[in-house]
Amino acid sequence: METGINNILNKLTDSEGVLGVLIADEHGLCLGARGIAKASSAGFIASIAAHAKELTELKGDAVSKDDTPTISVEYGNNTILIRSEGNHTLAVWKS
Amino acid sequence: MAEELVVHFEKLLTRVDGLLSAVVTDRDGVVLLRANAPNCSPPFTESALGCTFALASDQASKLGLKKNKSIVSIYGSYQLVQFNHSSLITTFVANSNANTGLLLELGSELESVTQVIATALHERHSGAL
Repeated sequence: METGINNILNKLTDSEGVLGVLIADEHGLCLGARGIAKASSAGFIASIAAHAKELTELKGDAVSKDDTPTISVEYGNNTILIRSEGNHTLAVWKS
Repeated sequence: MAEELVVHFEKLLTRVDGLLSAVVTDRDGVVLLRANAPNCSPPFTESALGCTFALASDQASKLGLKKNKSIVSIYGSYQLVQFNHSSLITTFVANSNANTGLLLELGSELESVTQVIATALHERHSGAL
């Protein structure tokens, strides 16, 4: 059942510059984590994505698919990219 | 110290959207610490939270997976995230669409706080004997 998700996570982890990957569901629970990503971060990742989405909805217009924000958290020499699609949130740790 | 703990717990309620109540009880259901969100009247019996979970956690510990740490119960409008921290039970009551992962992390963070309460209780109990 989780083969699809595992394949995606493995494929992303093998990409150049990727240090870690995490997928969270709509409840903030971890569906999979690779590399330096900790499963315990899933709640925070989902929360960041949800709050960023609320910011885009404030303008009052209908939210189209293109309005889904991508959040970038920079720390040290690394960056975490966070994006929600549907009920899932993906986070990628990059150097 | 009790007031500081209550204030600390009340601040926690603002960290997670939809978190309505945080309660620390012992295994018999005696409420030791309680923080409710403003205008929130909990639709449950607080003392029942602790003892019902204690029973469920004891049973869950018999599944052969070692000691049960936490149980998440999701209902129509609410969710309960409960933690078995040795002699004390921490319960979070939240809306069913609140971030469960965050609540689980919050409980793990609070383990050190409940350990302090448990130690204080133990010392008081030992002193009384």
